[in-house]
Amino acid sequence: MCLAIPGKIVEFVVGQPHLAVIEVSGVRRKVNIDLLREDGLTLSDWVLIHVGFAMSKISPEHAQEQISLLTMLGEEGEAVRELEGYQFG
Amino acid sequence: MKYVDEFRDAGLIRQAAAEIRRLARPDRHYRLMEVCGGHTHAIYRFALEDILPDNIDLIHGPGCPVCVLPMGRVDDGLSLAADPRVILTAFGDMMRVPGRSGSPLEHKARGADIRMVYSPLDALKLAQKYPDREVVFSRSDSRRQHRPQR
Repeated sequence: MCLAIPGKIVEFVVGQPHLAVIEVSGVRRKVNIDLLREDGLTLSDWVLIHVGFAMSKISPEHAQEQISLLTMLGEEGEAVRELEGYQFG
Repeated sequence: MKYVDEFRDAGLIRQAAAEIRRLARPDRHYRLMEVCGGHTHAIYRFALEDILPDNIDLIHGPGCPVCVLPMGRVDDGLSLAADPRVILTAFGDMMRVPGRSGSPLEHKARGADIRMVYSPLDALKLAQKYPDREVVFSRSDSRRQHRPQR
């Protein structure tokens, strides 16, 4: 719950510029990208996700580090469960 | 929860404590702060500081908002949930925080409309879906609970 989840942007949502589809461990979900729209996001960018929002853009290397950390802590299942739990998309 | 057996294995714990004692340099004083109420609870409950060497101090930090949430705040949320017009939403970890008459999860089991969400956007979606209901998103405000330390 307190850990941010790294996800890769795989699709932008037509007609809903505040949302983007991210992918984590094969799971795809829409998240809110309003906090990062000014930074400019492109496909394949990695972002850190928390409670349904993309909070920051991160490098692919940092994303892999974060994924390894989540796995090491045994939290990767919890992270995927949070994503699957989002109902707003 | 994974690894519960390992975390309760006295033999493993003694080995870990011995290894920590071996690794702690005698010329240093270590101060480790944990910032999770669950950790604070476990440290006190199992007297973990007693099995650490004298030059390691455990400092109990602020804790995340859920762990330091006063019971009264949970009760406030639950009294709102008692109103049949209300849908009370909360994150998963809030669901188990005890109020005076039980946790949100226990109240849910007794019929209160309390729903676990993963995002405040889920609460918003519920409000859009049920315009005749009052959707309450409960959160804890850590600013009111912690004073700045010197």
